[in-house]
Amino acid sequence: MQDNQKIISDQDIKIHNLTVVYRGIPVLWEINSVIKKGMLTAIVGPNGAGKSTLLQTLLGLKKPRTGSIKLGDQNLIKMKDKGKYISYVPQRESIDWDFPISCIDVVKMPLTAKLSGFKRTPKEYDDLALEYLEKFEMALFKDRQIGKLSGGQRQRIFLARSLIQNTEYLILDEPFGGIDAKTERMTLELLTELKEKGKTIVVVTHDLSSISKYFDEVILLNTQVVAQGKPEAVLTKENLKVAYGSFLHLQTEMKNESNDHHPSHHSEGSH
Amino acid sequence: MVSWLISVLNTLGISFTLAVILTGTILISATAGFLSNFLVIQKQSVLGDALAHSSLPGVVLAFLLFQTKDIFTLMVFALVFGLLSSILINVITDVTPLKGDAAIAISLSFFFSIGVTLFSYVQQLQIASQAGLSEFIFGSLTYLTYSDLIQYLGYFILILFILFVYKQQFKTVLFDRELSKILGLNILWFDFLSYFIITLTVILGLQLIGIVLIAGLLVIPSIGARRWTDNYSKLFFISSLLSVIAGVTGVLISVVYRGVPPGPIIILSLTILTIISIIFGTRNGLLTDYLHVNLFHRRMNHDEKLTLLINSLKPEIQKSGLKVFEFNKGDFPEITDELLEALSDCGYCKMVSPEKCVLTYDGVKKTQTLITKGELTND
Repeated sequence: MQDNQKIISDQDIKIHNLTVVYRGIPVLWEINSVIKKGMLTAIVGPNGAGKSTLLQTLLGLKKPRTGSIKLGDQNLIKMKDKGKYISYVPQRESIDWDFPISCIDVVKMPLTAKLSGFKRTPKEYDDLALEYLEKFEMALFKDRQIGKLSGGQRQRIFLARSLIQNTEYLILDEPFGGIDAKTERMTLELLTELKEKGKTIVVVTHDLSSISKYFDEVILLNTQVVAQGKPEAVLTKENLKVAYGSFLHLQTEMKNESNDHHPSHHSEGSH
Repeated sequence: MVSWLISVLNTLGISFTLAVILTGTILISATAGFLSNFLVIQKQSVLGDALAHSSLPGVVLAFLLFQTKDIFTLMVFALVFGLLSSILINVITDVTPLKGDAAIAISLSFFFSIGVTLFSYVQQLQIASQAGLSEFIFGSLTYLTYSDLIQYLGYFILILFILFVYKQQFKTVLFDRELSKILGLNILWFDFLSYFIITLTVILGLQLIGIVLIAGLLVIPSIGARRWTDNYSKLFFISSLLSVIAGVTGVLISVVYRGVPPGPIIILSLTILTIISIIFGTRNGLLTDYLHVNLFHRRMNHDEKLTLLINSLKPEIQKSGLKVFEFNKGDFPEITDELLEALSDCGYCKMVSPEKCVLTYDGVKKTQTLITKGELTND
């Protein structure tokens, strides 16, 4: 098992001829792509481009009409216990924040999920969860109900949860929307740290400006793959125009507007 | 356990028949109260309604074919029709542009109509043992026997056992289906299990509460209970407790005023308990929130307001110390704008940007005095 895990962990994720259809409309159309091992890959594209659908198909949450996703020689879509290899930070909108659960219980959920009711939760699970909560400066909130946190704090809880799985592949769905500067800094630091450890990370993001600074690879998506490669090669005016059409104009405009609303963007005091 | 409960009730001067009925009621309402959390947390409250209503044709058909009211037989038939109903719901949402609520409404009334039609046919047949079948609609006190009760207890233990063994799995599936799939939990199996338990509870509650109102008992307890706790396990116990209180109240009232079926009274009591919880509950109850935000803050003097602020900020202060202290408003959802405004007014803190706030020199000094006076503990 250990060997097997190692073999799989050394592989690229290969997406072959992937088509995903929702209610008769293709969301992803004949996607061919390789997500390279050890790289920090960004998936960008306009709203409705199928970015989240691509992630969810990778995770086996959506079934493709045709095509395959392979990790080594294994079919990733059909693989049981993907949780050993891949962890996932969902979009914050997809979580029920009113759920009666405390922060620490969320963080240790990947470890406790399969425990029988007859078994007590081992103490090392609690210790581990607390350790990761501390890493994101959330230890003091451990017993708080998850809804009673700010947007950034909520994200930090889910970052901690993904780390506790200790996987080689990490997938994040729009981690940079609507969070405070501190959480953004923590998220970026974490991505860099994990990359240095040789982990493979895929991030769906809307923030085109930060990509060339942090990411190795970009997949520009609009139902099909418009371009893939190094950020400076992909994020050219021509490519962006193909992917975003006239919407790009709108997006940059909106961005300027939101920057106007928050004129003070100076860094936080060091803690 | 059953005979123990009955003997306890007996010593309280309650007749054997009533003791049997009360014990049955306690078992059923406890189970339904427990399960209500499944439906409410998944935002599937109407599904409980659909399951209950579409089990009627199953129950009547089982009765027609075997002329039995055996719980297991009824349940198998109810389960089949419940499945048919959920298949119909899925087909409607997949094939047509209709949303889930419309699909459930169609399926629910369709199957209930089949049930009622079959039901009136059975009544015309004059089968000797049809007595009691009509009580399946609204429930009745008359037909619960001691042997029924032993059966109830068996199923009650079975349900508790399933819930206990799969406690963690159910919690994970309820909270985050995506994570559950990634971790390799068999979602289909757990969906079927919860569906099975819910149908079983519908059948157990048929005689007492009736098919129309059992759905209420499968939804309402959780809503009130949530206003008293943020803890997953406690939620299950509180919802059970509310449900049992309503159940016992309903039965007692139904006994005193003969002829009133217990089902409606149980649901009425439950609704009253829920309204009380929504208003007075300690977790976001309307009155509690109102008092907290308005009266409480308005009546506090500046020192008390500062104490409140510092207490909320404690985690941050412990890290960075009190001097040159600034914080992000968004990090502390419990610090209200009213509080910050009031404290800015008296000069204890200052907003330096729409999001950032600092403690002023006066604020720091005052905090230190409060600590030395012992009104704030510096632990």
